Amino acid sequence: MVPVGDQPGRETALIDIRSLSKSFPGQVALSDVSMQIMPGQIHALVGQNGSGKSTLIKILAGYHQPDPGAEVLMRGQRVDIENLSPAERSHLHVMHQDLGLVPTLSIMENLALGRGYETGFGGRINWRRERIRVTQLLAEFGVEADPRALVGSLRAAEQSIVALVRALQDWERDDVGERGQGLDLRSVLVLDEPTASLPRLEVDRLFAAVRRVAQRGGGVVFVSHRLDEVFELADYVTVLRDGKVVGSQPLRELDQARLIELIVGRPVDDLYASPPEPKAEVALEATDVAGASVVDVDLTVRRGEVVGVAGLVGSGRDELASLLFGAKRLVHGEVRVNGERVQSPRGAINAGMGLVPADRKGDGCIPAHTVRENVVLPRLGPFGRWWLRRGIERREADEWIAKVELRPADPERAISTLSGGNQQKAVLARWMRTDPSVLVLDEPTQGVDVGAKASIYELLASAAAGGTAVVMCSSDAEELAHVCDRVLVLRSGRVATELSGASLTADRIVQEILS
Amino acid sequence: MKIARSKFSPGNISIIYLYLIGFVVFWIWIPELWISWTTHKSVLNIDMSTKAIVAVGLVVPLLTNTFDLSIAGVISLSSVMVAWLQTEYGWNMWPAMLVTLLVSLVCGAVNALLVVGIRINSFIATLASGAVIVSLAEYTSGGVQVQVPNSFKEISKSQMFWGIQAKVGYLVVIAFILWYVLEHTPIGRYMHATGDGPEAARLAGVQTKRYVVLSLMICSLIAGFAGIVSAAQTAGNATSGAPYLLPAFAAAFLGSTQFLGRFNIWGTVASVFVLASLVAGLQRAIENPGIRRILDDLFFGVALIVAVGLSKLLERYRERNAFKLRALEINQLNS
Repeated sequence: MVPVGDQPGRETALIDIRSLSKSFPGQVALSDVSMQIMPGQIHALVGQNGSGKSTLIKILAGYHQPDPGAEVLMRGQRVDIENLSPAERSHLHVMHQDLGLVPTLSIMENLALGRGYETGFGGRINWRRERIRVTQLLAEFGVEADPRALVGSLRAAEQSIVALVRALQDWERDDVGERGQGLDLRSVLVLDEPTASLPRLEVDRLFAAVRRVAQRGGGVVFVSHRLDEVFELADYVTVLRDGKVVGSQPLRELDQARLIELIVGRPVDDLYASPPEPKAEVALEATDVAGASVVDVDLTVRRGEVVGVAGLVGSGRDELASLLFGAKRLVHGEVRVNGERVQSPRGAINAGMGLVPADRKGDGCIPAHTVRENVVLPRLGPFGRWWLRRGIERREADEWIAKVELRPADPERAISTLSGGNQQKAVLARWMRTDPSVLVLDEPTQGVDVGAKASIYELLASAAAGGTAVVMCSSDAEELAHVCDRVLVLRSGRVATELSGASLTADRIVQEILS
Repeated sequence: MKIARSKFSPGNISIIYLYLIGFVVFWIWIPELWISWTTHKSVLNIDMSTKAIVAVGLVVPLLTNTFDLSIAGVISLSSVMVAWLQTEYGWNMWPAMLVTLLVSLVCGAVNALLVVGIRINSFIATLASGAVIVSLAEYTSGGVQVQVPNSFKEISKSQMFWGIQAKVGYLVVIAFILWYVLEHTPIGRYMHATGDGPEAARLAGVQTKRYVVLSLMICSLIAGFAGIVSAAQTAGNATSGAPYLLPAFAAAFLGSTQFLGRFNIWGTVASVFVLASLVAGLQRAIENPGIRRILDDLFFGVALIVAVGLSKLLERYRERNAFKLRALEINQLNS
């Protein structure tokens, strides 16, 4: 890997990490990692789960100490990354996926947490001045909101931007930038998966704000699993694999296939398994379905067919899966699986349906339970009504763990200790074990690394080949275009259009979503 | 749930170690009183059995992440009722017991209605229903003890062997059945799932409401049974339930830090036994009556705090462990 920051005549890097290693007892998480963040640069940091990405972020955030021998320079000055002074800390801010905002406080109050207010005589909070300050800050990053609005009432992207502004606001109090002269952005902002829960349209707003940071001379480290976003936003990329830097170059020198190859370590010929030919028999029939945001959706899915559902947040896309599965009450209409009416999750399962929910931790699996317990939960019948025979249970769990290639292949591990991708594979195994006629998935590959994504697509394709009707609700147009036979695009709770064959492309999906 | 914890590690069976230490201390401190079957027999018969019956019953709703504070009320009501039906109306003890158990089930059903039907937080709902149930007991008893026939006392006091009374036998039977149901049947698995991830369990087809209802009914039924045993011990009394509340919670929570690292039957039984033994030892060793009187409350109160504190520490320990495991794996993947 060639360091770029040391070339003469170039600007000083905002942060210059040199030969940083980190080992945990018995293992090396990062080895000899170097990375420079230049002013105005949006620097993508990518890698599979377990590649050392999160360890690196945690070191930057001050959670972990690097091994001795690492050198970190901030604007050319050596710093002790384990013990940054408050001034240094304010130039290196990590924004986590969980934004750390208090939804029941106003924007202004959230920004004041840890900073304090503009005060007047006698320590009285000068609300007016505070409000003006916050309004200006927000406007600068594209949020037109009353600073008194509760953070919980904002849209997802606006919340992200508030978190971003909170990270940035301290930069102006720096020794260099004079107060009141606007923000001094010669600092580094680390964004850890900022778009994981954002709908596409809002991603653009966040990106605009991020670009604004870079334009003003700030450095941004952008961590994301979504490679299309990496290409869209970043201009430089560092790829981690197995704790080592395997690529560090301007993004324009790369294409997506080459980047995936760097991340995974081998060429990926085809990330997406091709959909099999659907059969004629109808498995799922939903008529006039209505819920909180879904207004009127008809959906018929044949066995072996993979149908995608696209749409913005609030378009009904994020609600449809729970409506189909009976997890949310239908306001109107009915859902039938193999002719049997579905009215509750239990009923849905009995009729031959399975649901992979979007929120893996809360809805998908029971975190404290073992992989075995999670996989077998919907169907305990085979192990006996009055006595669960552990032997049979264990054998079945092992069998399914092998089928989905779970890593680690240990049925007695708490499922919460698995990586996101493996948790998702376990949830898939749970439903494939019940041999479902219909499998409904909500954002199946959200927050999942590229390698696990490919195997999830393969599993879905094999389920479809076995005659399962698959309904996949996703905000990833790329994925829908590749995996599905046809895609329904929802707008304002209705099916706006249906794409299939030659018209089924990612661009077309995005276009239909937005129009 | 299983993370590289040795079966006999101090963290896992700490109460057993605590008991052994206490045993040695009392052996030295009060050798004649401590090394005598009379002492341990009375721990089993009087100090422990009824408390443990209530505590194992409480484990069931706690497993489904539901509190039941009404147990004290149910014990009071059933103790008064079973006595009152016999003395006031001259009922035979069997129908009196049957009706009392049915009334306890009704109490459980009311709790279930409040918690599952109306969705009141279980802590609040059962706190309130418990108070209402106690007031029923107070009204029925008229604020005095209701005497019971001597024949009825037999169901509690009749001796099995070595001077051990029947109620210890009830405890063993109830604990065994509950252990079997909770650990080895689909019902138990569904209850665990309901407690540990209600929404995930529901989406996996577990009828979570049904199991919360069931757990509250079971708990009330067992509390009702404990009330009958307590009436047979002395008399029907509307104040008999209150002293069971704290020990039951203390034992259930302390038990949850033992053996399996979650709410479990044998950990709870062991906790009651150890705490009751230690209290009994101290009561025999300490002369001061003022201190002797407060030992029970003091001990179980401290135990509850320690237990909950311990489980929080355990949680953090596990998170660290899980992190280490993950790190090891990454290492294996790398090599």
